[in-house]
Amino acid sequence: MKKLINICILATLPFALHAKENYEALAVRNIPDSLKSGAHATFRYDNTVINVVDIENVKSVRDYAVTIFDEKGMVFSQLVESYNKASSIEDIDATLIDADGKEIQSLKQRDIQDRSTYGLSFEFNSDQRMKFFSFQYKNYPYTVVFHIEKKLKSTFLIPSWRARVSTISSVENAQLTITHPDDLPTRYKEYEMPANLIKKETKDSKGSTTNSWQISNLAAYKEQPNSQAGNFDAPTVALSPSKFRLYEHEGDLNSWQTMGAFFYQLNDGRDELPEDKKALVKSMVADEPTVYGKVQKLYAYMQQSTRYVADEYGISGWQTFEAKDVCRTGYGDCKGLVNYLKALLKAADITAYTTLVYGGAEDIDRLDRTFPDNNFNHVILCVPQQKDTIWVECTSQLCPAGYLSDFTSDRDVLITTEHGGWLAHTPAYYENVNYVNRKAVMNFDPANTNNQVVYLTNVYSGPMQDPTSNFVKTKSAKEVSEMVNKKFSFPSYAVKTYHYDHQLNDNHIPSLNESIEADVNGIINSTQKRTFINMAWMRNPMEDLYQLSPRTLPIVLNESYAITDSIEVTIPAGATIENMPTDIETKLPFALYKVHFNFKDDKITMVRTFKQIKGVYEANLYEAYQKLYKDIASEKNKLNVVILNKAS
Amino acid sequence: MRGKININPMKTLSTVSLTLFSSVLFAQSGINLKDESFLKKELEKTRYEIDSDAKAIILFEEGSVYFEDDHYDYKYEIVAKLLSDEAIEHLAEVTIPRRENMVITGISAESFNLNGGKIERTKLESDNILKDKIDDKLKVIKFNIPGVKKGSIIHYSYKFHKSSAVSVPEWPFQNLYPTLYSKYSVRLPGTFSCNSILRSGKVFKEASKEKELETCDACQFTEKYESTGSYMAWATKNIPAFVKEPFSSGKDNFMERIKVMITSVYLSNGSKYKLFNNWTDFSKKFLYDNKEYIGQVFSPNNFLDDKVNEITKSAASDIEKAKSICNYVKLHFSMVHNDDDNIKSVFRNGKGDVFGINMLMIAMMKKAGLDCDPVVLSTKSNERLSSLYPSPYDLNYLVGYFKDGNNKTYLLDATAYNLPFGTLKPECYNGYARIVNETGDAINLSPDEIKDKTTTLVSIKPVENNSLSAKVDVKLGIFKSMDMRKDAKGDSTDAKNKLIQSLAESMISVTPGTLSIKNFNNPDEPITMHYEGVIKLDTAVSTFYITPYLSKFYTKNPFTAIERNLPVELDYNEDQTLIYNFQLPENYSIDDFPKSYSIKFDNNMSFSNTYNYDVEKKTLTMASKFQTTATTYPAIEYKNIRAVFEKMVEEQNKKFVLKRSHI
Repeated sequence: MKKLINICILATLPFALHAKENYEALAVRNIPDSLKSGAHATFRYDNTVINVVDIENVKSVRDYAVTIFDEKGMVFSQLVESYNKASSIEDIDATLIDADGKEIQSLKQRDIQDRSTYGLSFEFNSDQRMKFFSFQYKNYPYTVVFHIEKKLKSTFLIPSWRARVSTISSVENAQLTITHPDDLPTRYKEYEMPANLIKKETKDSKGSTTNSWQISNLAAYKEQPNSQAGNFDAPTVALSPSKFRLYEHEGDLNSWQTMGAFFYQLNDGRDELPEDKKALVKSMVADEPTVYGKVQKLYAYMQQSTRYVADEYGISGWQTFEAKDVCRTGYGDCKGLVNYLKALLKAADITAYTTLVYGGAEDIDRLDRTFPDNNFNHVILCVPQQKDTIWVECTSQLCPAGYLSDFTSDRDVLITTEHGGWLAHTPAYYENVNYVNRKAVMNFDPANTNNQVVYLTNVYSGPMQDPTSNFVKTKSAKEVSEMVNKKFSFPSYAVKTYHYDHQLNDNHIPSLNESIEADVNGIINSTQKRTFINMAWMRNPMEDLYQLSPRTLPIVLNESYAITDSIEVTIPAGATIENMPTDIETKLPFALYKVHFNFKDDKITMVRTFKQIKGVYEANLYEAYQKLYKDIASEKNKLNVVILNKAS
Repeated sequence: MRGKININPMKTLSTVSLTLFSSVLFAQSGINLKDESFLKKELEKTRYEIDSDAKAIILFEEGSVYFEDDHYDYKYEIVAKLLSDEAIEHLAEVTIPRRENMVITGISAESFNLNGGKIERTKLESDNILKDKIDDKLKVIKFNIPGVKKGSIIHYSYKFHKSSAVSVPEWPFQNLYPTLYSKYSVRLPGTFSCNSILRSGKVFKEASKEKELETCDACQFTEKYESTGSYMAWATKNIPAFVKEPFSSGKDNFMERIKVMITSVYLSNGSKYKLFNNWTDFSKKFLYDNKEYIGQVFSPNNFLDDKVNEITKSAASDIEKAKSICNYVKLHFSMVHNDDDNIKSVFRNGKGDVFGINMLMIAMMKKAGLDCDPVVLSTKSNERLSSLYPSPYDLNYLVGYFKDGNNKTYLLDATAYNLPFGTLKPECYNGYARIVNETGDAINLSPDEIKDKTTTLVSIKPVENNSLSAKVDVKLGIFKSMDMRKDAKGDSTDAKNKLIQSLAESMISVTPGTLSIKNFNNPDEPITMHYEGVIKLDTAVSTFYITPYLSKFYTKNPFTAIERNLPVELDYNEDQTLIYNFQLPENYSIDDFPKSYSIKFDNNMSFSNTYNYDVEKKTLTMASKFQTTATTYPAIEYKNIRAVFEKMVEEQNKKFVLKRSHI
């Protein structure tokens, strides 16, 4: 299979190969030591050339060579390319080179596997398919040279580009070149670029512009947990078209306003309901005095009568099924369900807007306000009000209206309206509503050497209540019983009774009351002369951000929350306390930690509070973070009230 | 079973069983979807007596197979009541695999709901029956039943025709949801002989008429037609849902089901062609003599000569030769899921599936003059093999059985990358298996034979300035070493980090540079870890509470359920030891320590903690040991097993008390 290498590339790239046979430059000995250190693979060159021919024809050619040093780097030797109805893979070629730069094998087309994504993703129906190939070679080190040609049938689909440097891979040379007609510009923005970036722009006489970015010698970096602020953690060029045509629908991504307008128009007029449904809506909301009340009622109706099924074949990846289809089938994807509720609200004379969002608990910074880009993976519904806009997560059958959970909270979103799109920010849940308050009460009975009875009364609120609350609402009684016998971190225990009670506060934030009675082993232990009452069996409330190397990047904490534990132990009257732990208080910019002990009327009480404050914190605070984490972890062993056993 | 035998098993999917829609029987099994009052009653129900907690109830399920020559027609039908969102997701989305030689026809589906007292019926439109080509080997038909919500009743059926078939699909009576009625019928031509193997908690009565199957609790009906064939049918009622429990083998070992094995076929020339009569015959005909499949290893395979000579040239003994070959294959051949079990092609391409790779290893062993034969087995997630009848479709793994010059035997797997020579992956120790050679013997791969022996030695000694020095040595057993290597892909960084983080809970401050992990990338040896540290004794206090358990055997009781229905099946035996030696400093004494403790169950599981304080020598020693000598326990003993673990975690949370004397 001939490789087609653009002459322009040959002129600019030191590592481009002119002929099939000459791979000596790829010998492993040519890799600088600095790029081998810490890396399990090195991208020797990684060149992407994008040619925007016209609005429905974009060619993309990627040539790259990656040297694999060991098993951990093997993931980079695997080729995985996706395509769909609006794109095609025109050519794939691959060659396996040994450590000295000699060719060992080349790809046979029959070895390329082609697979549907059904069963691999959440989608029931999709036109997305994948091609896989790997030499599965184990004689390290070796190099694989790949050539992939793709055709995109719309400028809408131009992907962003990133250099493949990571915690396990380094990059010797990487380049992106994009050529477009001047009347069909592709916008771009660079992120996390190194100082040695070479950037060029040339215009030719035929009315087209070529932009290129070249970077080199990026060493693998050490893992630094929770360090990514913003959308990207590696050198990236985000690319976004201006004009495009997608399945015959035309649009413009130049601004958030025009982007919103496109999505609005693509989905407009698909919210017609059958007459009987409209009449039902009117009757359902007739006695509801408030807008929230109406929204909640219709939302609950939708939750009970529909379910999530993602049919995103072709244009359905962006355009919703009609409301009357969802009505008939009883299912839809996020767009379909949002559109359906929008239609129900319309029948109740309530205006609502489809809102584009990037969902994911850790993905609060995906949207860059300064760079309009179609970087969304989900839609929610926005019901604007004078005060307190009502946000609705239509794919949930459990949330109340107005509550988003951490999947889409606290981030910029794009509301699509008849006037175009505008940016908004979804509500954030701070520690005053995102918390766990746990209370444990036990009565230490020295005569009972088998176990101790512990009474737990816990309250979970906001996103912290979601996992348990959703589980309790959807699973069988047997499964809930199994769950309560696993979730607590007692060394060994058996739940005797449990009860759950779901609540909703005035701001539509759900909370969960949990009461448990359990026989517990391992938290009150006796030696020959003493009894140790462990007051810190609970999980560490901090996230473990351990790293071996020195911290150089900021610490990014995406969530504010509070966890409070109150433990009350009644001990026998007249018992002698040999050791009562002392109070602790630590105040840091990102956290507050307090432990307070009290002993009165034979009752020992401990109140332990941890609060995390979300934000981006300087790297020099990392040591303090780790120290606090370790101190709390060591309390598991250290925080004991020690009582002297009564002599028998 | 893959390979060159022309048999295509139809493994039933949990979402896809196969039932027959026969309007007569359908109605008389108690289900009549044309009867409005029946439908209304079922739609109004929110719980069922069989299991008030169920997320769905299978009201009716029926399958039928009509075999003629070498093809059959298969029909399936199901009616289910959906009581939870999870069951909706599971049951309302239907996927029907369509492999080669299969043609699917006659799909229909509908849902029923009660809306304001009226029954609403929503039919699946043919436009919504979708096709998907998964890959070159598999296509599917898929659909989502419309109009489904909590409380709905769904009903769907389909048929397919399969050509070039010599096996009858298995039928599970039991599902993941309670089933009120299940029926299966098989019509075989007169040229077929068969055995049927039934697994059920009930005794199936013999029915004299097929009509009895509509009302009996559990019965079977057989009718033989001279020369034209036989007809068998089974029906049963009120089967509880199968519930998977942790620490147990595959569900196919327990679920109630019927298996029809075709044992022989009369050919047109009148001779009898034995298929699955017994293991010996089956092994000889379909494995040993099958030169395109397992029989490959018994061929000359001269293309391996040069490589085998090269690999074994410096090996002095049989065992060294075997190790060289096994290691060579492990290092140079990748395991992939591509069904490539042709030895030549595996050798050429450097990759193959587990059959291909291990057959290559065995062929190389034979080339080197070693006594090594294939063993075929069924892994733990699959149904266990039975000695009574061959079940070719459960054979999903192949390893090598090597005998050295001293008659010592070894089981070899060249895809067990993280295990030493002679040890298989835990999932392979699944009981009955077969050696494939001329005689073809049985072999028992019992998990009782494998053990993980892990030892931790802690030595605490005094140093100056009110400090103690700690030295810790850990030797992990075979399987704990395997677990540590498994996801690391040769990189021990994460393992080191995890160890350092776990020590945050102890009083030891690890001295930088003393932490070492050995044999991480040498699977023939157990992983050993060593580190040193310091425990500072605060001079402001005189009483210290110290835990000797730097790492506990179990931080939590793994047996969290209160009750149990299935036997407990551990993957391997365990032998965990922690020895703690504390040489006290001057002016210090042990004021208190836990009583020695032991608990035993059935002589097969025991835990003990022994403390010994020598006042004169000023030493405290503690030995903690957990052992099992059997891996399988009946469900009725679950409470005792749970109690052993309960006491173990409790004891390993205890401390001893060190006191500084006042001068």
